[in-house]
Amino acid sequence: MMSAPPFPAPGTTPIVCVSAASKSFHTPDGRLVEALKAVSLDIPAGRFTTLLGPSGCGKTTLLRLIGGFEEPTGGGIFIDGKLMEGIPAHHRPTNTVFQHYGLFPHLTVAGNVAYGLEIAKVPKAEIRQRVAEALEMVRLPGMETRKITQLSGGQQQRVALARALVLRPKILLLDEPMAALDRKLRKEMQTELKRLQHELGIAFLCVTHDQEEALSMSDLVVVMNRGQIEQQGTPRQIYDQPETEFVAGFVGEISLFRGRIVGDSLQTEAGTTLLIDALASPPDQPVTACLRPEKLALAKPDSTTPLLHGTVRDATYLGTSTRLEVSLGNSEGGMSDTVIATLHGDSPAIGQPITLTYSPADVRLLRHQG
Amino acid sequence: MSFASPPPIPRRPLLRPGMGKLAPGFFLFLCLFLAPVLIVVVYSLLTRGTYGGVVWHLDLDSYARVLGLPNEDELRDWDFVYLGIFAKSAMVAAATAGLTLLMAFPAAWYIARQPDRRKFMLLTLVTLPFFVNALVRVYAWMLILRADGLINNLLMASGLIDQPLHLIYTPGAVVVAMVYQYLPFMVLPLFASLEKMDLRLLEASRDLGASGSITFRRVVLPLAMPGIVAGMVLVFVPAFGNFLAPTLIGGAKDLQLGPLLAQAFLSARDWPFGSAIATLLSAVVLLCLFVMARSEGRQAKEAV
Repeated sequence: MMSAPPFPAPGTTPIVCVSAASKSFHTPDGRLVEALKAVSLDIPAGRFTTLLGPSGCGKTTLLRLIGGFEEPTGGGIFIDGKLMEGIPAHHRPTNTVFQHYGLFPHLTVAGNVAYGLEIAKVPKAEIRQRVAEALEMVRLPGMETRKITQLSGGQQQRVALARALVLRPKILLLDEPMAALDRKLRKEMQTELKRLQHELGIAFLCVTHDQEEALSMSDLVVVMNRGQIEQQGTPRQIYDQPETEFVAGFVGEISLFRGRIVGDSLQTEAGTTLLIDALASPPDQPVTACLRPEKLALAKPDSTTPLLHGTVRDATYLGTSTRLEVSLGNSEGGMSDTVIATLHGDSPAIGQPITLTYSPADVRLLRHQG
Repeated sequence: MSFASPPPIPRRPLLRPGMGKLAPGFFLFLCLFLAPVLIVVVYSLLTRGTYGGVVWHLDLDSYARVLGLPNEDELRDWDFVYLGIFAKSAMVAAATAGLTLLMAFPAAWYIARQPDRRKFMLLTLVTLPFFVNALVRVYAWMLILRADGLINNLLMASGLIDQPLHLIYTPGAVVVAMVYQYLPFMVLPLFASLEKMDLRLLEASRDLGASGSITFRRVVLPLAMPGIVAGMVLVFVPAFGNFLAPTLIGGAKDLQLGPLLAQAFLSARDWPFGSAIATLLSAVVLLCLFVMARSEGRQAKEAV
């Protein structure tokens, strides 16, 4: 199995080092909930890292541990090589953009952005200049005297960004920063965040449940599930080489095949044979393989690549492509596997037979989980 | 980039359709509040009758006496005794309002952070003293504060003091009784302000480098200010003219406005003089309310 070079490149010092951090909570009814289970993670300096996972996977808890809003119940957090145990949020070199923005309604835009600088006793003239620069940076120049309540959601978020970045943190924490924005604005802010991170060279750590957002913004994606890290890597690694069923299913759409290895192929119970390139699993072991929809194509008469025969069960037109759900094998009763394919151009109608082709190199075997 | 100021909001006419619904309330207000106030103001400008009542003859001497101006006809020199009583009453009322604020703030903060059902129960407990007659409540403080009262008995029994402390019949005793009496007036508006406050702002403040005390000063206090102002006015205004507490447990030497007013009408039978005091008292109270309305108006404008 070919695997891409590890990320970050060896030798890079991480800005944040999470070492076997655990966090458990007592629920009001007395149960003990383990939000984080001994998570270890290096967050590279000067890069955009995303914690991706469904709600309740522990990603926000991890962010709050780094920001100092919670103390870990086990393990430790190092920021810039320094153990953060017992250091409260206001003494940490981190700043946060909250999901709810947390802007002070009794202050103006400038008052909000200047808040941290005033507390740090920065000289007045310097404050004024840095506030203006920060607002310029988030593309809200000249908005100093505006009231927070006069701003739109997108503008409020930019103020929250300016307020955090003006303090020049070692790492900027973003807690679901786009959750309250509409789709178009979200796209815009994704580009904007990426640009800011690139320009400033400050490490960004962003929490999101939106896989598209994670893939488009990040240098490093950390997929979390049930208080643990499932996989970390570049967006391409996460998308093309998912290691677990969870990652494969959570990031993008994918078809899964469960079966056994027979020779150089995978045989499912329903009778589908899938040629595989890598022989990582010993024969006769139950394995799961996955195949991305866009790796499938309509077979041409002279195709030399392996084929999958089936019937179109559902077709959805998506503009640039058509998403097909195809039942493999004979669909006349009994078991059948389903594969999802996105095809460009014309595609057969629902109920029509179809022959698809793929490259064995694109079939990926997944790590089995307990 | 520049932003045009919003167009001025046109002034709305005083009388508008639907205002007829205000008529019953307005009528009551007219008969039971405005008319008596008007009578008091008019009486304050008249001459006193021999056995109470008034003689219909314009005379500003009542105000001159309250303000301490000299009057050669009556062989009176400058005399600020009444202004002194005003000042002392204001100080006692201000101390009451300040102490009430200090006691009510933590309580209101605590109640605002409780689950809804507990909130309701605690607020009911706060208002519970309202169900007891005010006179009974002041008498209770007499029992607690007097020479052979609860506090002195406890302190003597524990051997901390040999002689009973002089607690009752002091301005301090009046303040204590009034703090007790008006505490709910402070807790309720504070609670309303603090409950609305977004706790996540405290976290945001910590994140930006502010310690707990800085966060309190720069975030909590400004956001609680409408409640603080409302509570201060609601306590200060009735405490300023309070009659029961200073009469029953205030010292004879430290005359306050409430008892002074009663004396003017009942003992001295000088109705114009009493009316002048009442009018000035009302003027001070109106000023307080005006200041509060101004500050609330500003807050409301800022919140838009």
